[in-house]
Amino acid sequence: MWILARVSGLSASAALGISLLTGVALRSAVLDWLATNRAVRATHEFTAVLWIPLGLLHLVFLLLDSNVRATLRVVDLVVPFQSSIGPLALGLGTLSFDLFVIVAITGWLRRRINPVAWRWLHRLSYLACALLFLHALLGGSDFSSPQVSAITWSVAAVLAVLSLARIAWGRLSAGDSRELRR
Amino acid sequence: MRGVPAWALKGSAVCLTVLATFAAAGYVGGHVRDRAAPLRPSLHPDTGQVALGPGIQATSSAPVTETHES
Repeated sequence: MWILARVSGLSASAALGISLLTGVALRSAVLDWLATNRAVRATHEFTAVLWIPLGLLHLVFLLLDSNVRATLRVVDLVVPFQSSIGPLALGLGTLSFDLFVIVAITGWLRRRINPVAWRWLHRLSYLACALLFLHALLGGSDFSSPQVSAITWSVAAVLAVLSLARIAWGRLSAGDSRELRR
Repeated sequence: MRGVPAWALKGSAVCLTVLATFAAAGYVGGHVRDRAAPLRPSLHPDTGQVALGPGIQATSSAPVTETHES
């Protein structure tokens, strides 16, 4: 279970990376060269089918692990910074999980929520991703390895640059993105 | 330009996730014991093996019962 929990955690991170990339691309037009916004949006919405089950499997496998179960309670997966071991590292993961739950639920209820409120709620995913990265970094598992560390830092750096560009310059119009490609 | 269709992007996302899962399984399978992970099984400091402590510890206090021989 310990191995499965780590594998599902890593693959959930990969799926979340794709989700964040397609989400940022929707607003920054960085994938305009590859596909239409409609296709990128469909992919972004589809990635929830990937990262939500993998993230839940990560939690389930942790709870099923006999060693972890002795120290981690179910409530520690929902209420952050309460666990007796690694409270900061695990608490950041819990907080990230809570934020992703909010983002996922409000994503499904988008049509029923005020657009401005929904946009701000959806922006919590940036914070959740940053907290998830810190959770993986401080949690230690696998990040001590150069292979895992190099890949994850590279992906995180790309996503951070795109996110900051999105915050700084907002959405590029189709004309702007065509100009940039010339 | 119409660009890559949505189904191809979705398929690529699935393939990337599956690839990441296999890569993670390969890596984790080869690195079962991770000293840095807070939730990992406790390891013996010298051998690096998983340390399984006994459920009942020996006491240092004097015995309180006597046998026929003693």
